[in-house]
Amino acid sequence: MKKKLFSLLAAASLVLCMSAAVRHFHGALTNAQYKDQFLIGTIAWFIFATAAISMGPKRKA
Amino acid sequence: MPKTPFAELAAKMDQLYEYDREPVPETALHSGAKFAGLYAGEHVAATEFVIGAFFVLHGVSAWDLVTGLIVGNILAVLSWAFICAPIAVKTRLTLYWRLRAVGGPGLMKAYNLVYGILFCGLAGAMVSVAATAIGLGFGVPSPELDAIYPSSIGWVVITFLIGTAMTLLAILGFEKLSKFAEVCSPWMFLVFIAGALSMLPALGVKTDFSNFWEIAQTKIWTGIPAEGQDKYGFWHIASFAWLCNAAFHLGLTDMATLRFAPTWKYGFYSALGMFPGHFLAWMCSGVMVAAVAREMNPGLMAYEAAGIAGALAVLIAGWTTANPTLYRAGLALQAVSPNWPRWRVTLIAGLLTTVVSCFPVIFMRLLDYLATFGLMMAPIGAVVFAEHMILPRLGVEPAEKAIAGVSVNKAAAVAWAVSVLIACPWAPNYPIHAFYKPVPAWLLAGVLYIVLRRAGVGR
Repeated sequence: MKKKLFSLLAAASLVLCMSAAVRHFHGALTNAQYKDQFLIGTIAWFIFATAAISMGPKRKA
Repeated sequence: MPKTPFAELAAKMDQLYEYDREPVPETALHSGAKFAGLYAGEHVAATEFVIGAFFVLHGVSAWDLVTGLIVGNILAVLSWAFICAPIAVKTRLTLYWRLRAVGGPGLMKAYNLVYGILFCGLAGAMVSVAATAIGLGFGVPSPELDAIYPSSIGWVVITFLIGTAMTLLAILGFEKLSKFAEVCSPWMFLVFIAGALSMLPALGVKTDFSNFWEIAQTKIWTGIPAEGQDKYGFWHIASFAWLCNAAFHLGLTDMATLRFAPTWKYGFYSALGMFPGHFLAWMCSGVMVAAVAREMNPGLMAYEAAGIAGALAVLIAGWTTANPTLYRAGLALQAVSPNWPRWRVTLIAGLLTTVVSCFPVIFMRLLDYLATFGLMMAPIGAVVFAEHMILPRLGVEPAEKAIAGVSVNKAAAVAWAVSVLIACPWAPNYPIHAFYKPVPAWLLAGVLYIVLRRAGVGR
């Protein structure tokens, strides 16, 4: 359950990064706002994706 | 006797190369999803920041770029599917182990030595790429396009520190870093796409993309090379896209991966690496370099495109690409010095990598270097291909029997040496451009090997 939640949050982080770029392209975000939002999305991605992966099934020895 | 931490680590690293001396059993085959992830992750790397940008600096036109990349990438996928995958699935062995049987242990050592040294050069280029990102923060300029020697003390210090850190991490945390690289892959691809998209307004692209092709032709891939750079056209791009990984498909080193495939058709999964990485990512880095006034500085390009996250992407891309590259170099060099522990070999490979990274020549001539890499490695693939696919049909005795007990299969050694020497690797653009050389060298090696083996040469 937790793995699913972290995976969803990780995916949402990537959506945040991409949406920042799209909104900047359309002029809805300034360059600085876009870069800040991209950085936040990046940090969130690394936290949630790492958490999701670390909860993966353990390999048999 | 208690195991040292290094010995334990080396044992763990050995486990990563499962079945390295025996055929992969049916129970250990991998799913298509695993191959999809593997190829997608492996081909969006630090090199992509450099290659796409160099196409712009070499004055490729937009039309030549798109058509060349489509043709070249299709040829690369076909090479994986029809040349590398069938042998991998048939033998279920790594190239190294197959080469030991076909070429003899002496030839395998020579091959591994060349392979290991070339990999150190490639890892060194990745360290240089990462250094451009760190250099931004300390005001250290990226070297000039034609630079051979270190451009400043600052550059030497940064590359030395990054190279040393990467070497130590490759020794101490290879497994964790590999996991970290898995986490990075989707984000890394996004940095390319988002970074290019965010740069398009600065180049004048309208929000409805109506003038994208016009801007692409007039401001990005203009057809005009930067000063001192050769002009590239369709054939350069198609050849490079096909052959930049020639060592892996024509040279068969990807047997290591594809021997885990249930059928040869899994070679087509390489398309999931080629088209996102060697098409989209290369185009995106082209957009980025055009937007920074065509300055070959991956750190600056990514910083301008995506801020701190972009610079971080270049650093991480360099790091996560150098990590497995260093490991592969260590593995290859260990074949030459089998009594040395793995950590010591990796340390020596890392030192060589660090020294190479101080000299920006490989980073600044990465395209030629990759082509030369393919040229040096592909002919051995032709030898193994001929041994498996052609000689049995001609009724020639298998090499295992013909050269049993011999250190070097002379037919294989001559085929490799002659094809490489004729292709003139020390003069990249002579007699033909470096990008065109791997295919004739591969064909020549294959034909020579067949003729020599039929004539009874081997022992």
